[in-house]
Amino acid sequence: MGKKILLVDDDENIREFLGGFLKELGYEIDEAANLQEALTKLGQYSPDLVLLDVNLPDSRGSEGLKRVRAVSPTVKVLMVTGDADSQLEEETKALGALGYLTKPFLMEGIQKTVEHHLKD
Amino acid sequence: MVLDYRVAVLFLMTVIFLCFWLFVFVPGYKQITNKIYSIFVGNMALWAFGLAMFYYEQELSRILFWADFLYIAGSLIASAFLHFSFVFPSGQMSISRNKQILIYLPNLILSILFFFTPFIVKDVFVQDEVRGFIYGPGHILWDLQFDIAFGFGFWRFIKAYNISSGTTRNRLKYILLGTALGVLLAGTTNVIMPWFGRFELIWTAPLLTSTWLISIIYAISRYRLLDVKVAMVRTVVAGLVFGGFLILPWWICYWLRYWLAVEYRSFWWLLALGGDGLMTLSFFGFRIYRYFQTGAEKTLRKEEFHSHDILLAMSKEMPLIKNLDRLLETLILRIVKDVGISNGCIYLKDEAGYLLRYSYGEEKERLPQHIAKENPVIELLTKCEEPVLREETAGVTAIEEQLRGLRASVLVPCFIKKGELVGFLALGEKTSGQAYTQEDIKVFQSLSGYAAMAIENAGYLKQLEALHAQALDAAKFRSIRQMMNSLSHEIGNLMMIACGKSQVLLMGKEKYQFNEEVVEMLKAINERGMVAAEILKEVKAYHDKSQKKEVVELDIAQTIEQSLERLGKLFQEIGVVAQKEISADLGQFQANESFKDFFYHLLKNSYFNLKKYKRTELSIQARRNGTGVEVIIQDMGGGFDRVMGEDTTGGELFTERGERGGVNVYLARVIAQDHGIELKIGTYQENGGQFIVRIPLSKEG
Repeated sequence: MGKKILLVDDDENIREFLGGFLKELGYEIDEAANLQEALTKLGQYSPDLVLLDVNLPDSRGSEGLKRVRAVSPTVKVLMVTGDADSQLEEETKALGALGYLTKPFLMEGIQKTVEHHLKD
Repeated sequence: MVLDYRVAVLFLMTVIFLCFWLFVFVPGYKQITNKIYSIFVGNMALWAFGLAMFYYEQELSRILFWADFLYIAGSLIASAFLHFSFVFPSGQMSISRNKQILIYLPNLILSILFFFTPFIVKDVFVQDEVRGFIYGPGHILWDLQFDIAFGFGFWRFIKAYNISSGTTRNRLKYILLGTALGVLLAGTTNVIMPWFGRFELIWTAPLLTSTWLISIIYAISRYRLLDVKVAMVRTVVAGLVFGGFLILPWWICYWLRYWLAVEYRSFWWLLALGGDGLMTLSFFGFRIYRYFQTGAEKTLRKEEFHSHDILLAMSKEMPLIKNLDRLLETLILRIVKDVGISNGCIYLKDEAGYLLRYSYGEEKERLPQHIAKENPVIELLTKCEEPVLREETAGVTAIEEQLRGLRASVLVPCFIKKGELVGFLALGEKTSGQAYTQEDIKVFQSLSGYAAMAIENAGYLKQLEALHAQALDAAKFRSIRQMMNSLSHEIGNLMMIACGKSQVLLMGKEKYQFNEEVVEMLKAINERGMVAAEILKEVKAYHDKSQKKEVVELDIAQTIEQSLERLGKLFQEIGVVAQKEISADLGQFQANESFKDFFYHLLKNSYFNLKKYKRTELSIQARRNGTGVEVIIQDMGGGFDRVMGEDTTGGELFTERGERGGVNVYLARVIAQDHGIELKIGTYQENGGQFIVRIPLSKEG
């Protein structure tokens, strides 16, 4: 059984594409379209890694990460964003985010980053 | 003649090298890399064989012959290694035929000297267990050829290793590592030690070169070196399975040997051999029969096979057709005309089901324009994933009716992946009146796979072009806010997915065996998409920031410095060091957050143009000027074709300077307009760009 990744993004196309790509790499994927759904799945699904979009319909910026941390203090989180914002980056890193995946995606980079953080 | 342990080991190594030679040569004999490397491996086998015979023979004259033989094989190994360095990793021969001959010329000369003169090896000796050589005065010549060829080969590989990356680098690493270890170990026992009259270990050399073999086999399995991994696995599996079956008769006969001896005396083993023969015949016999049967059918149905060949050849070219409508037309027309079919049409997936995209032949006007997802035909095709013949559906009324409606005798589904039916072909009766054969179906299956890929490629490009056109249309709007309304978040994401998909396909280009043109097309899609996505990202960032109502006090000097810092990495890549004259007392400016990006956009335009013209001159001057601040940015990245400074209303989006920085100038102009900043854009010293910015300051500022 592959490692589990929870993909949180409000855009279905992104979830479908990124999820499909990660599945091909051998990971087990579950998806959430908003933060509330992600928080519920965190408890049920126990992912090894969360890919968390910075801007969700029910959370903005580092707020989502704070709430994820409140539910699961140890889960690994990679933020996904379209805007390189150094202030937000520092803020989320202080909250324990492992890093950022920026859009437009470089798939090889995503593969390496995810593999790096999920290797035993 | 004695078969001692050394001879046994050397024969075993010969067999191992020969097997490896087969693995390298047979599956890849059409590729030059495999061809040349098989010379190297083949000589390893000859060398091991020469050594085996050297120990096997008892008569001195014969031992001398094999000594000469193994020396020649050794020198050929070095030459083949050098030869290989000219084809790997490029996969193309980088030297002329004459130079290739030159590589092997010393081997020819050495062969003459070895076999016809005592110049290099005078004689051999046998002393107890040890066998050795008595060298002639020319022994150094062999060493020189061996060292120079290997040394030059290694030098070339190290050079290639230093400039390579990724899988190629790893392949080179294992070639270098394995060969270096092999040469070092075998060179010690067979080149260096013999110089000092020590010959007792020369038989171990082929065994020591197994370090090379292990390293290369590892690189084959891990990094697909020489592209023979699949062949190796297949052969090993086949070997194990056959071995398992063929040993059975021997095991049974051996077990029953005493009982069999009564009848067959000491020839019981002939029964085992016969058993093996029968099994082999039963396995290959069927294949031989099929071979002749196919040959005979080919002759009888030459025409039909010819049309199949044409269709298959065409199918491989289909992914190159970028226009979807043209592709569908070509596909149907060629099938209908080459196979001789009364009518044909193609349906492609849309949101609600499957839409008729192209049809040809009789009664095409009466075909259904759209087929719902729930239609039994769609369900059947999705489920069985194979062409469906009308006669196979006899008795299933719902399907039969649909096939009649489609005027179809056969339906050919097109799948991108399991469960994802992208479309299907509906083909009518053959005009000859004959039924569809299994060969027809096989060809259609293969064709449908290529067609699915081609449809996906063409549709995908069309979607990207539509998005691109949408972005450009939106760019023409007079207001940036209007533009933002049209450029939804979704377009940006779709663009990213388009790029992502191209990247994923490129990552697996070896797996999918794309030809160069497809790879180039995917690269182009990715590059264009990335540019468009970056543009959308910058426009969206402006939109998000300009929507924020709060006004902040921003230090102008600091804003300029921060912009330079953000672009620092890009400037560094093209060698730009900005000449700065920025007064520290420029003061504060009341603005919304978008002003933080104002200088960033101007400098980014300079970056794109400096990069384009391969120039590095960039200067920024900022000083207090009366009641305001004046900032002048000048670069040598080509001038603006028209002076656009007077128009700050957003009349033009893209400047005529550079390729990608136009949106930055436009965004800077909109930000200037939002904040009452004066921005003049013009040409500087005929061949550069200039931005003159005047920022009004409040009385406190």
